[in-house]
Amino acid sequence: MLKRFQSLFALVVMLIALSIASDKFLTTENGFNVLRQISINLCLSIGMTLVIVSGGIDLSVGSVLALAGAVAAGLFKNGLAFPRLGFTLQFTLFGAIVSAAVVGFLFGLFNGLVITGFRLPPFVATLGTLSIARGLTQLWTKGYPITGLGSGFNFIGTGHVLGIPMPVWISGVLVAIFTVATRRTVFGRQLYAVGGNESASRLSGLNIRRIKIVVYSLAGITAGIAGLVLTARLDSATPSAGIGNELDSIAAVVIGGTSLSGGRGSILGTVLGCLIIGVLNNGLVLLEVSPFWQQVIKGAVIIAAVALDKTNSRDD
Amino acid sequence: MNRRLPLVLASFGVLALVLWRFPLFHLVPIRQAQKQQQSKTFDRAGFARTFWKDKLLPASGHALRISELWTALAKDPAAVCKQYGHSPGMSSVAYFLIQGSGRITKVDKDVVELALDNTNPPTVVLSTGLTFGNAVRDCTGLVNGSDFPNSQDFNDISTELNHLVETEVIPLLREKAARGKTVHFAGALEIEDGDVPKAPIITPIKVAVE
Repeated sequence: MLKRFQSLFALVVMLIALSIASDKFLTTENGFNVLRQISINLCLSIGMTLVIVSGGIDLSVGSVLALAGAVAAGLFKNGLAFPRLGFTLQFTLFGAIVSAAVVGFLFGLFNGLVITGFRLPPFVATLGTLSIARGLTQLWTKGYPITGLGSGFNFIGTGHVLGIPMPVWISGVLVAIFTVATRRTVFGRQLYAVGGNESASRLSGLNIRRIKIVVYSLAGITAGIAGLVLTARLDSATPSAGIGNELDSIAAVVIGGTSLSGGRGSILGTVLGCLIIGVLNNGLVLLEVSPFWQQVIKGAVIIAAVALDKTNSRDD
Repeated sequence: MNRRLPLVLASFGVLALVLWRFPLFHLVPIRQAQKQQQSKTFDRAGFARTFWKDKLLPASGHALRISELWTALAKDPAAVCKQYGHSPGMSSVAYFLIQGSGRITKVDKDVVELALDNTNPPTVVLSTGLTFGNAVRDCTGLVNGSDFPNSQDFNDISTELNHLVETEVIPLLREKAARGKTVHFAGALEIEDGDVPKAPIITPIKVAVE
């Protein structure tokens, strides 16, 4: 029973410790700061949770984030010109948002088709997609950041509604949707079944291929949304955006209690995992710990979380 | 299939309505799109010229005299840099807009050296080579980085102002500078980490040679 709440317990301990160590920590402003900072990783981690629960992994989310953000920014700022036909498709804000999600979906779909069609290990397939997406981002942006997107676009990343930052709203809505999807729908049950025991699921008549394609597509969509939020927040789509974000999202998922071997985990656990990483980062900055030591501490926390996960798996 | 058909049709209908109300894109003739792009692009040359003419040159008439600045710096460089200098962001560099007069003692390829009579510093150097850095932009404190959402636009202003120095000030100084002549100057001075140089190097903004 206690194992289910170990992430929550760790978070509470950190909150108490940091509140004592720094008087700037437990303020409303800092709280919103943390939520805003974790929102992009949370968007990525939601999709990653689905993939890992299904027994896979997706290393391409960071690159897909960059490509989706760049495509959305490019289409919104410059449109799509057809000189020979004499017109330009000038994308609206809604069009840019949809394009980010579509780019993410297409890459996720590609991942799913390659993994299920060629039976490639997800690690290898998504490593390839990581490189493809990064290369396409460089091609699309020609190596330069796309900036000056305007206040309308930037509202997605910097605006507030009812005093709450937009990125928090966006990640919150995704958490709500996917929590319901994983807990209360047939798809959710099938997801855990596939991740728990793929052979048994196949013999039970589940369409493994379709479920995995859907899972990777959803992970792509969430990566696309994360890319949109990051681009809006920075008012810039850079070719190097998202580098290393896939590892941060895997860390958050694992710290949140999702098993790397699949079949076990939850969206709310991932939220806790993101909060733990976010609170840790925030606290270490407030305590003026060197950025290099922050990397060391973060790595140690990840190892501890995975070791605990292994111990829990053995006990189960 | 028959039972699902109305649902499918209804879904497409709703989607069509949403896309009609919130279109994904507009079809714009290519020439019109190009005109719109040009109007959105920041006119760095125009901004720099307007700033130069309307703000920088008028401000140079009220600039701090270099002799007064040097007297103050001798007592407490850090305090003077904080009070009279302009430091963008968290930089440790302070920029000053100063003026003065001196007699030319040396004319070189990239510098003109002046001797200031009976005052400190005894020598100043007017730079007449290629102009780099942000001294001209930041010496008045009148250009604020936070007014430019795109930091590249803010950087470009420095480039344009430096170009104006190279094309409008330095050629005049080079043409007329000769040993023994007097130069009345206003320019931008950079002091880093409160380190006061013996012979300050000034980027000239306005010169008059007699």
